[in-house]
Amino acid sequence: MSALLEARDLVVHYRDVPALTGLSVSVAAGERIALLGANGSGKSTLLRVLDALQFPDSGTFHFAGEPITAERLEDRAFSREFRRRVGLVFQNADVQLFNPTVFDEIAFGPLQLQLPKSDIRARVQQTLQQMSLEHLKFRSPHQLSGGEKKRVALASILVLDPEVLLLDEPTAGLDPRSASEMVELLASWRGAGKTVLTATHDLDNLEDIADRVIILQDGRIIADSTPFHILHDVGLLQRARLIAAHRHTHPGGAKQPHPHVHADPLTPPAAPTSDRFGPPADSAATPPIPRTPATPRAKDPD
Amino acid sequence: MHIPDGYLSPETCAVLYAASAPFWYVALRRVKKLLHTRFLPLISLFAAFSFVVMMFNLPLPGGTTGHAVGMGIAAIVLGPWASILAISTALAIQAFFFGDGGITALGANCFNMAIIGSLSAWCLYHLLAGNAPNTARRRVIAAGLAGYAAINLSALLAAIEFGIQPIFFHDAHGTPLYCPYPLSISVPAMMLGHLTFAGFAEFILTAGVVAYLQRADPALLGDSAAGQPRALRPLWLTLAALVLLTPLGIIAVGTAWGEWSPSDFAKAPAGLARLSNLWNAPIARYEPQFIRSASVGYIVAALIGVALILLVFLLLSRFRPGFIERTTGHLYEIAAHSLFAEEIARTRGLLQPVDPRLKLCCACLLLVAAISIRSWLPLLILLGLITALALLSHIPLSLLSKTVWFPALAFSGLIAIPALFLTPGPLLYAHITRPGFKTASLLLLRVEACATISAALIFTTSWSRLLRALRFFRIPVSAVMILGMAHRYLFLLLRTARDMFEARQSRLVGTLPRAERVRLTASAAGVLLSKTFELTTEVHAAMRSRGYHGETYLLDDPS
Repeated sequence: MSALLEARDLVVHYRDVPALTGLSVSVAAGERIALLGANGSGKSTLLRVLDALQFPDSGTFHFAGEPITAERLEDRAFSREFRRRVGLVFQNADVQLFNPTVFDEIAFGPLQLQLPKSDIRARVQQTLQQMSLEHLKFRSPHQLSGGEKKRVALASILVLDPEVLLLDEPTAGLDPRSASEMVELLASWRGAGKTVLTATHDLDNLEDIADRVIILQDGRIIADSTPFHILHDVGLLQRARLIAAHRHTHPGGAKQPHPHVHADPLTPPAAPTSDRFGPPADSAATPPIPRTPATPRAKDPD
Repeated sequence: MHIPDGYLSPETCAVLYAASAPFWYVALRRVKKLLHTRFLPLISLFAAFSFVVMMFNLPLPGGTTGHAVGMGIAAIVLGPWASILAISTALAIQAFFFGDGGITALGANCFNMAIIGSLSAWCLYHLLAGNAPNTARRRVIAAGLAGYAAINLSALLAAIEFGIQPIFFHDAHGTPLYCPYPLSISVPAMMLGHLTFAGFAEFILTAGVVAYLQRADPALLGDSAAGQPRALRPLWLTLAALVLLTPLGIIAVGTAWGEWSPSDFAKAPAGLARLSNLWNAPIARYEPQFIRSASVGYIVAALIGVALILLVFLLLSRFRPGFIERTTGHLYEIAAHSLFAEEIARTRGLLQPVDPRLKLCCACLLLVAAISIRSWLPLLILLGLITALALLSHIPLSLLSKTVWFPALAFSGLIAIPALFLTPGPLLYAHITRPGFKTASLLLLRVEACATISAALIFTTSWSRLLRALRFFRIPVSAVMILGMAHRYLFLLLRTARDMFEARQSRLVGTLPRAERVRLTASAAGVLLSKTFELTTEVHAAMRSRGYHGETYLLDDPS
C-alpha cells in the first residue's frame, strides 16, 4: 500500500536558521503518530510543510501520490480538495480563532470550501454538539478560557471532517482536567480510520494517542518506533531533551533523586558533566548518568 | 480630534461621507490587488494595533501627556491605501463599539484622519526621507515630521469643518445651530492644541517606532508591507486638490471660497469684543484706543484661554497617577467596557431581542433626526425617550451617567461655555447673551441625545450581531471581515500591551526620567508592532489552512 503522506529529504530554513535538515517520513492512511522533540527541533515546521503552508527549500512532499508544490496549490479545485482532506490545529489557538464568534469560526472552513449554506449550518450545529460547545456559540474568542479556545480550534477543523489531522501540541498550556479531556478525545479516534499526527511533549499519554512515535532533533528524525520502545529507551529520551536526568517520575509516583557528580570547575570541560537541564542537545554520546531502572512513564519536569 | 455627533450639520456629514467613499472603494480594490490574499489579516491587525496605540500615554513637554492617532506609522509601514483602511477600521470600531467619535461624524473623522492623514503622512515621509538607507537617522526625523504634519493637517480640516458651521447653519437671527464658533476661533483653538500637544505625541510615536524598527526589524521599513504605489506625483496632486476642494465641497451651497471670511470675522468679534472688554476694562484708561479694538481683544482673550488650558493640564498632571498607570488604566477601561456591554446585551431587556438590523437602522435614523432638529424642546423629548428605552433595556442609570452623560457634558460643556458669552445678541443675564444660551444649550442637548442613542445601540447589541447587521447596509464582505477581525485581535493586543507595561512597572522603583518614559512608550509601540506582524503571518497561515484564497464568504442571516 502506498503512503498517504510521503516526505523526502525535506530541508527548510528560516532566513539562515535551519528548521528541517533532510527529513524523510512516510505515513500510511489510518496511522496515529506522535511527534516528539524538544523546542526548536522542527516539529511545527514539519506540520506546516505537511499542511502545505510552507514549501521546502529542497526535498519533496506527496499527498496521496500527488506532489504538493506552491504552483499545484494555486489550482483552486486542487487546493480546496487538499484543504478538505488535511487539517492543522495550530499550537496557539488565538491565531486560529480570527472570527467574531465561535459559530462563525466553525463555519469559516466550510464557507471557504463553498459547501451549500444549509449544509454548513447543519454541520456546524452538529460539531458544536459533538464538542459540547453549544453554550459558547455566540461568544467572542476573547471571552473564552484557554481550554475552550483549544476545543473551538479543534472543532473548526473537525467540522471539515478531514482524513488527516495535524495537531500542534494540543494539550500545551491546558489545566490537568482540560488536558485529560483533550487526550480522551484524541484517544477516542483509535480505529476511526483517521490519520493523526500529534506534536507533543506529553510522554504520559503517548500510548493513548499514538501507535507510532517519531523523535525529531535538529530538524531530522532520530528515532521511529512504537511508544513502548521509545518510552523504555531512557538514553534516547534524555538525548532528545524529553526527560531531565535528575528529576523525573518513576512508576509509583516517587520522585527519586539521582546522585551525580559535578565536574571540578577547574578541570577543562572535557569531562562530561550533567547539569540540571540534562545534557546539551547536540551531544550524541550517552551522558554519564547513573543508570536508572527502566521508566515506562518518564515525565518531563516542565 | 474625534468629532462627536452633534457638532456637524447633517449636510456636512453627508458631504464628508460622500468624499470618503471613493477612497474606501479605491483602497479596498487597490490593496486587494496589490497584496493578493494577505491584506485582510494585515489591515485588520494593524487597525487593532492603531486602536491600542491610541491608548498609549506619551509624555509631553510641561509634564502633560497626550496620545497619538498612529496614522503616521500606519502610512509609513503599510503604504497610504492600506493605511486608509486600517485607520478607518479603528475609527469605526471606536464609534460603533465604544461610542468614541460620532457615527454620523464617522465620515468626517475618517476623511480627516484616515484619508488626508495617511496620504499626507506618506507623501511627506517619502519626500523627506528621500533615498536614505533604512537605518538612517534621517528616516526617524522624516517619520516624526510626517506624523506631526499629518495630524496637524487633520486638525486643520476638522477646524474648518467646525468653523463653517455657524456660517451656513444658523437660525433666522443668525444664532449658530451646530458648532458655535466661526473659523476665526475654531482654527486657532484647534491648531494651538495640535501644534503643541497632539502634534508632539504623533511626532514621538512615529519617530520612536521607526527608530525601534530600525534596530529590530529594518525590513519593515523598506517596502511598505502593502506595496508601493508606483508614482508619488499623482498622490501629491490628489492630496493638494483634496485639501483645496474639501471646504469648497462642504460649502457647495453657493458661497464661493473666501467669501466666508469677511462676514465671519465681522460677526465673531462683536461677541469677542465684549469678552475682551472684561479683560481690558481695568486698564482701559491707560491704553491707547486701538488696544480696546476687537481684534486685540480677541488676541488677548485667546492668549488667556491658552494659558488657562495649560494651567489646567499642569494641575491635572500633578494629581493624576503615574504615567504607566494611566496607560494601563486606559487599557483596562476598554476591557471593562466590553465586558459591561456584552453582559447587558445578554440580559432580556426591551431592546435586546429586537433584530439588530432594525436597531441599527433606527439608531441611524434617530441620529440623523437628532442632528437635524434645530430647537431644544424636541431634542429634550428625544433625549427623554431614548433614556427611557435605555433604562427599560436594563442599562443602569449609573453606567449611563458615568460613561455617556458625564463625559459628554464635561467635554461639550467646556466647549459650549465660551459660546454663552461670545455669540453676539441681546443680553440674557450678566454677560450671557440670549443667542449664546440658545446655541450652547442646543449643542449640549444634541450631543447628549446622540451619545445616548449610540449607547442604547451599543449596550443592547452584541458586537457580533452588530457586525452581521452591517451586512444589511450593503457594506462589502471584506470590510465586515476586517472590522470583525480587528475587533477580535484588539483584545489580544490590548492584553499584550498591558502585560508589557505592567512588567515594566513591576520592575520600576521611583519615577522614570522623561526621556526614559518617552523611549519606553515608543519601544512598547514598536514591540507591539512587531508582534502585530508576527500575528498577521500566523493568522494568514491559519486562514489558508482552512481554504482561504483571498475571497471571503459569510453566512448572511443574523442568527
